[in-house]
Amino acid sequence: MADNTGRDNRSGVGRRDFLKAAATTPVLGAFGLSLYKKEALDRASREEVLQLGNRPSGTNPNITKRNYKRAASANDTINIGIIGCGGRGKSLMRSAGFWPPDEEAPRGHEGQEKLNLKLTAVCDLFQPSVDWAIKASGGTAKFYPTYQELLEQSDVDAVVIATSDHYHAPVAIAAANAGKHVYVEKCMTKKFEEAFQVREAVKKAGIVFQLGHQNRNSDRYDSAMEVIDKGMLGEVTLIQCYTNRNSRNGAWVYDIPKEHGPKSAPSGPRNVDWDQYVSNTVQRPYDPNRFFRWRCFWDYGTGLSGDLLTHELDVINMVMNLGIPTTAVASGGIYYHKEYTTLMTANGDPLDSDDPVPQGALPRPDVPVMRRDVPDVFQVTYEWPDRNLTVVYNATLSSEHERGQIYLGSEATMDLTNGVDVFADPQSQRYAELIKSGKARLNEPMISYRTVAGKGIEAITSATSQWTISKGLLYTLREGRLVDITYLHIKNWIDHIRDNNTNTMCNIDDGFQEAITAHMGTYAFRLGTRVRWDAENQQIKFDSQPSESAQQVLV
Amino acid sequence: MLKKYTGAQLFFLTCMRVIIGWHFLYEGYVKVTGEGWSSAGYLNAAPGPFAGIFSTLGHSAWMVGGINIIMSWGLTLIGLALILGLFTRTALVGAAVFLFLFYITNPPWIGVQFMAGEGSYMIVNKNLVEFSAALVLLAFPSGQIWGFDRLFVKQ
Repeated sequence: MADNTGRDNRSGVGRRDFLKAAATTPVLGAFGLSLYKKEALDRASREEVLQLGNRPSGTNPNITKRNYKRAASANDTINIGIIGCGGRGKSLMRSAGFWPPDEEAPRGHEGQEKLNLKLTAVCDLFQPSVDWAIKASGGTAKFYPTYQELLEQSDVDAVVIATSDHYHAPVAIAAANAGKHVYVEKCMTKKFEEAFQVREAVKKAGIVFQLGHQNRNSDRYDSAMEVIDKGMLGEVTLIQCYTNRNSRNGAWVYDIPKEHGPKSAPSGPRNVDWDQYVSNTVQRPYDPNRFFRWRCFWDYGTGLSGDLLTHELDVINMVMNLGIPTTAVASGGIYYHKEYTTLMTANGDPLDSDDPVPQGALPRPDVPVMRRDVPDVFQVTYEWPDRNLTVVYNATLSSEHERGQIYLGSEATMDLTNGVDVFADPQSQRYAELIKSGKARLNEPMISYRTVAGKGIEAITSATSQWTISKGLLYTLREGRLVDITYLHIKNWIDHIRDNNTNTMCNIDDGFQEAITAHMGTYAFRLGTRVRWDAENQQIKFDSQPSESAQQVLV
Repeated sequence: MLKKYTGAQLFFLTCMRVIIGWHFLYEGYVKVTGEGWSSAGYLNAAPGPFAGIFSTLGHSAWMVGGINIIMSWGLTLIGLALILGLFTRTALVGAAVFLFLFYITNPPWIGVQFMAGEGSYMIVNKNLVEFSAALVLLAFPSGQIWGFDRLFVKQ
């Protein structure tokens, strides 16, 4: 074998040595040149996509509402009361910074800006929930048996309302009249006319109002709104959205605690204030299903329309700035969750509704067989003729297959299933050149933005996209950090209270639109007719006049 | 000990070193300059027997921050070193360690639901091939012949 090490051993580092040492250095030059070419092409392609938008940006007023920055620097303590501290109420309190010392802190709590709140009052109709709130407050909260008494207190500046739906409006109106700021869960009201009453009370009182659609805060909508605002999809004629769940908890068949029982019970636990619960709806004898699983019954809840459809329609309204639809038609029924027997083990321990059923399980004698009256399969079609747009929502509570919130446009389609993905349409005129030149591929998104689903850490990935979304096109992330969007929503409300600004993330006008939209879907289903919104006269109308018995649902 | 190679052996060994270097340099460059890039998603999605360890790392903001810096700058520096033939040995050991970690974060083992990429794999994937190539280059060094190690590495 020849000696080709070629070392020049006679005089240290010679010219020959140096040339051989640097033999591969020109590769770096080739690398740099390639990099320059690639980046220039990427930049040109990105600019090409952006220039293909045909509208000026900034036409959607909802964009300016996002990323609200506080104006005032005052940070004095705000006293809050919680009215309704069940499942959702507890989540809200945890996000606001209150949980009992023996519970784990909510994820993402560390590093969050403190809101400087004091929990001073609690009202709930189930005693263990009251005890939870008092513990969570560190002992500062006082219990009031009625919301009216709570609202009379001078050490309550603002209230969080997370009651069953049939109390949202009465409590919100009373709170506004008492000058308390309001954060109320969706659906804003149970009844159509209550939406008008809440709007009037809130505007008259000038209080700061926030409706609990916390998912407005998800970063993906910043990106989605920018895509829409730049007109990148062409004419959007159809939007499809959905809810799919497939568990008993998902179908609102919650666990019923052992220590339930009405105040009037001759023996056993007397923890439920049933009389107050039914005092503004149909009077019925005590039924724990109707108290703990209230979402399954029209007397207290708003069904799929008010509970889950509103999540979808509210953000679509924000992204597209649509307002209330002109018409609604609906269909559906109770197809799957027809009847449910609540079980316990042979030893008498309650079983959770999604637990596997052990051998020897028995029906609980303290819980009657449950028959829901709200549908578990539901479809609504809304139309905005002036926008040439239809939105189709459908839901089933017996399948968890993901289908996406999809905006179908003449030039491109935007899918918000996992983040934001924008696909050029195969027949697009605008993107034809990009597709032809291979700068946009049909089976890959032109633009892709990701929140790492379920992992809590937000990040942009470029794995399936040709271009990651950088600051220029779409907003950046919140420092790559886990963000609790409910915390952000509460913070948005609190910031607005401190600034005395009523234009919150989901303000009373958004709330009014949400409630009317939801009720149009509910009434279309329950009355079996097309429902119209008369924007000029602020009224709803029915294509066929419902019978008197059908009209009971409007009461 | 300096190796003695035929011209073709030396040429192809150097090519292999430069090609792996190019791959590392660009992967590193993209991560150093890419806004918002983070290893968190990859760590959290890691399948296989070590998923728990990687997911624990991926859930810690401190660890993710450190790993991001080590990954992005490590890849870049290794890439530069391999192209230039400077500190080749150290760079190859580093490359082998990275490639081994990439392999076990997403191992195409039978029964493991590994993340799909382009191509079809069973036990052997491109990470393992590149890992083997790095080991081959360690056994057959070329930096002292065509590379800056020639000027610094004593005979």
